[in-house]
This record gives sequence, structure tokens and C-alpha cells, in this order.
Amino acid sequence: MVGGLVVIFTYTLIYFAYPESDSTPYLIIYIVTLALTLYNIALAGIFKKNSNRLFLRTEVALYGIIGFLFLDLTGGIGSPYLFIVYFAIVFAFLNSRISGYLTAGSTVFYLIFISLIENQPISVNNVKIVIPQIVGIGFASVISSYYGGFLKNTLSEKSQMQGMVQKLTADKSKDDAILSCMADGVYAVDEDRKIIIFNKAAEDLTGWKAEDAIGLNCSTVMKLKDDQDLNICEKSCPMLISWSSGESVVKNDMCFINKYKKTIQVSGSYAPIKNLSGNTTGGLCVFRDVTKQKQLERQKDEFISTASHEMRTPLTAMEGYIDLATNPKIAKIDEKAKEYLDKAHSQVLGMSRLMKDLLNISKIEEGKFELSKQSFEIKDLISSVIETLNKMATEKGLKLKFNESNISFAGKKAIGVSTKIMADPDKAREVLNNLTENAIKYTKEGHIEVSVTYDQDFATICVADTGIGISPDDQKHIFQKFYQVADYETREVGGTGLGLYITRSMVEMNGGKIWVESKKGQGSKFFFTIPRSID
Amino acid sequence: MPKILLVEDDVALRDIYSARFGAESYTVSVASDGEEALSVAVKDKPDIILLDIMMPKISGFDVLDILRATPETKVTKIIVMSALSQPSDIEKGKMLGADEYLVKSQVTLSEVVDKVKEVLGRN
Repeated sequence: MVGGLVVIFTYTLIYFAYPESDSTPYLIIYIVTLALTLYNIALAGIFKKNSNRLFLRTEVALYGIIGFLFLDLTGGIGSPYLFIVYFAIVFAFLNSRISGYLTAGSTVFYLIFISLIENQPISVNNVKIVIPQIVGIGFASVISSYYGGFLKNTLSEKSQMQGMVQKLTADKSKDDAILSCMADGVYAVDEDRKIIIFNKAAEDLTGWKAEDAIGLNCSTVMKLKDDQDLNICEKSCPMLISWSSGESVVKNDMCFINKYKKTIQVSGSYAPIKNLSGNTTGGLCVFRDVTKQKQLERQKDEFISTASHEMRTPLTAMEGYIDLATNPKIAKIDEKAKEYLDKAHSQVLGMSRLMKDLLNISKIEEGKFELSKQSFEIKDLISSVIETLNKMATEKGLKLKFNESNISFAGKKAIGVSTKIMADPDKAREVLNNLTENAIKYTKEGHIEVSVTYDQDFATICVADTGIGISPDDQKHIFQKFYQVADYETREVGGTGLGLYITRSMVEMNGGKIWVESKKGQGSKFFFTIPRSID
Repeated sequence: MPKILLVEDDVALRDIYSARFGAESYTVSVASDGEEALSVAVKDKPDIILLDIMMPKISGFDVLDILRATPETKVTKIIVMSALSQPSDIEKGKMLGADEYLVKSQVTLSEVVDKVKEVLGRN
């Protein structure tokens, strides 16, 4: 802009100093140039818009033309203003090589045209003046071209650097903003586990200020303990575990005491930070306060256990009173009353069963089933279950038997090998009880046979009945929660759809599998496996 | 006629067991907490005690421990009957000197009566 003003000012001065310039073509060019310059100045200076490139170039070209006209007016090759051309060439090269060569070329052309063509005949004097000018212009062009490019590169590098710095600053403030508005605590450590980043939520949770925490070892700040109150920062730091495995680690059962002496339960995930060559250079931890959540979980557990206990007590009492009412030694009732009380009794039994199932389900889903595995003989357990359920089977006119096969591996009899299995006896009893009871319920006539076979690793127990059987469609879903086979034969028996789901869960918890083989109307065979005890 | 002491804090269960054992011609005495259990046990000298664990004042485990340390009840038959079903609880009951440990949710009334008869029949 300033350049344009200077040029116009200079030209105006020359215009008034040289009255010969007052010719019409010159005036037109002068006015157009002036108008264009003012327009470009206004565009850039006042409206803060990018000037049109075409207008700018036209403006510069017009400056050139006026310049040559002035040169002509002030004496051609003898003009005292010839030196200005050198400045023009140098600046043109600074702008771009093309404009530099254009300016230099047109000047050379002008000098040759004036001195050699217009001033006929060619005077030696003129040639003497023109040749050093042309050499000078060439020299100036070469130097300007080289340094112009150099200067331009330096300038563009500088502006690129500035751009990158700006971008990085913007990125960093974006990262800072993300970190500070995260509700989870975040900290990063270097390879010596010294804290390098510590966000706002981490400050709030730990009570440490970022400026105090940064530079300290993370174990000093976090002082993590596990659910058994043992310090885990030194021996089993989750960050070190994530470094050695190279993968992120999630840990839920941790707590720490913050600066305000408050115990906070946290769940944290740890990930290694790696450089381009894959070496670990630090780690990142995102952690959150789960104190409230854990408290709610505990309350829920307590509620379930209290509720089920509180409900079981009246159920036991109802069962007891019905038992007393139907006991001829204690009460006298007629046949009808006895029949109704028996029905009430079976409803109460169903209710207690449901309570037990719901309690089991909630334990299974929370992964809180306690197993106490022992080594024991499965055949003793089978005999005991059969003894308990024999009454139920006999009442229905069914035969309940146990077929104990010899221990054999791949068809060969194995002698002197223990048949003990490794499982939680209570759970194994429940599994066997559920399957045998189901077999009795769904069998109208015939028999139920429990058998056991052994292979290298497992004991396989089979409960086979001669009952109603299960269709292939139902077999697919029968071990799923709340699935019930819906037809008129099963409706009589009833149930909650939880029994086989719980049974499957208990088998799997003990390291076994469960499956069924059946044909509609031809009985069912339920199989489950339990790992053999290693002698 | 065998004498039985029922130690149970739930009034309905106490009522039911009293009626049931009464019908089986036992002489029944009852206690609703650990303290009462100890005094009745020493006063009535029952042949067998049916002992609950989770009770107010003194827990069944402590009652069991004290009964076994008291000369009058040292050899009295004791059946623990509790809602606690963990193997560790059962082991604790046996260790403290219970003759049998029954889990409430796993036994019916008739089975309890049968168990009492069986334990009384032991030498």
C-alpha cells in the first residue's frame, strides 16, 4: 500500500515537473493507474479484503508503462532517473522470478529500442551508454534472482514455523481443555513413573495440586491399596504391569487415601505410551471415583440377602404350620381340608424354590458365587441324591436307579486309579438334584437312571429318563435364563425357567460342560462333566 | 419321655417345633435367645438341645461353647440348626462340639424330627 502511494506521489511530482507529459494518452494511463491504485488501497486498507490478483498485477504493469513513459520524457537513456529502474528490478525479483525477469527484460528491450532504433543513426556514444546499462541490469538480475529466492525461502520457512507453532499451541490448548473438562482423573508419567500431566479432576480427587504433583513419583501421590488393604504401588503397580504386557490394564478394586484423609475407591485403566520405534516412554492412567457405586452395590447385596432371609423365615413358618395341620397326631381335619392344605404346601415349596433361585441368580450375575472345591467321590454324592429323591420317584411310580460303571479310559479298564472329582460338593449336589428332580417331574412312567463314566480328565454324569422328551428347537434354548418349553405337557409341571440356567452356571463354574440329547416323546439324557481330581 | 430344649428367636418356628415335638411326646422347653438358653439348659437339664445360631444377645456358637464347658451340659446332645450354610460355619459348629449341624433351608420338619430321634439313639 505504502509502495503504491510512493509510486503515485513520485509520478505526480514528475508529471508537474515535466509539462511535456501533458499529452492525452499519457493522461489516460495516468488516471487509470491512479484509480486502480486507489481502488486496491481501499480494498486492502479499508475493507480488509484480499485484493484481486488481476487488478494488482495490472496496477504493477501500469506502473511499469508509466515508468518507461517518464524515462522517455526525462531523456531516455540519458535520464537521471534511470537508477530507479534498478530498484524496480531488485524489488521485482523479491516478489517473484518471473516478474523480475519481465522487468529486467522489458528494460533491456526499452534501452535497445530507444538507443538503437529510435535514435537513427546509431551513435557510438549511445551504444557506449547502453552496453554498461545492459551489463548492469544483467548483473543486478543475477544477484537479485539468487538472493531474492534465498530471502523468499527464508521468509516462507519462518512463516511456516510460525504456522506450526500456532497450530501446536492451539493443539496444546485443545488437549488442556479436554483434560481439564474430563470428569475422570487423568495423569501421565514418564519412564521413571514421574508425573508429567495431572488434570483438574485428578487434583480434585487426590487433593494434590498439579504443580506439586508434577515431577513426583506416582506412588507418592496415589498410594494405591487393594481390597485387602495391601499397598500395590510398589509390588504390583498396574502401570508397570501394563508396561510389561504392552497392553492396557483395567483395575477396579483399588482405593487410596487422599490429602484430606478420605478413603476413595477407584477404578483405573492404565496404558503404556510408546514412541515411534515402539519403546515405552511413559504411561497414562485414567481413574474414577467409584466409592458411591461400591456403596450402592453393597447396599443392594445387603438388601437382597436381607430380603431373601426375611422372606424365607415366614415361608418356613407357613410350611411348618401346614405340616402341623396335616399331622394327624396334632390336628384333626377332614379329607377336603387336607387336600387343600397339601396344595397350599406345594405352592409354598414352589415359592421357597423361587426365592432360592433368585438369590442364586443374583449371586451368579454379580460373579459372587463362592466355590469351595474339594476332592470327593461323585458316586457317593449320586447315591445320596438318589436316596433323597427316591420317595418322590416312588410316589409317581417311577424307578430311580444308579448305574455305576467301572473306571475306564477309552474303553480300557483302569485299575487303581482314583475316581474322585474336584468340585464344590454343594454345587455339584444342586446340579445333580436339579437334573434328577426335573427327570422325575417330566416322566410319567418308566425309570430314571443316573450313571457316571470317566475319561482322562473328566467324570461325565448322565441323567436319563423315559419322559416326554425335548424338541430340537427347545434343546437349543433350554439352558438360557427364563426359557420355558411351552406346551400342554409341561404346563402341568410349571416352573420359573431358572433351574437349568442356574444348573448350567454351576457346572461351568466348576469347570465342566452341560448338554442334552433327546427326542420328542422318547425321553431325555442330560449330561454334565466335572474335572477329575488330580491324584 | 425325652426332654428337648428349643432355642430359637423366631416365635413362629418356636411354636411349630413345640407343637411337633409335643405331638411326638417330648417334654418341650423353649428359649428365645442365648442367655435364656443357658439358664434353661442348666435348670431343666434337657436330653437334647436344638440350637439356632443367629440370635440376639449371645450367638449360638458362643452358647455352644459355654454349654460344652459347663459340667451339667457337657455331654448333652446338641443339634445346631441355622440359616448359615457356608462350609466354614458347619465346620465351626462341629468343632465347638455340636453333634449335628442342620441348614434350615435344606431340611423339612419331619427330617428334623428324624434327626433328633437318631441323635438321641446314639450312645
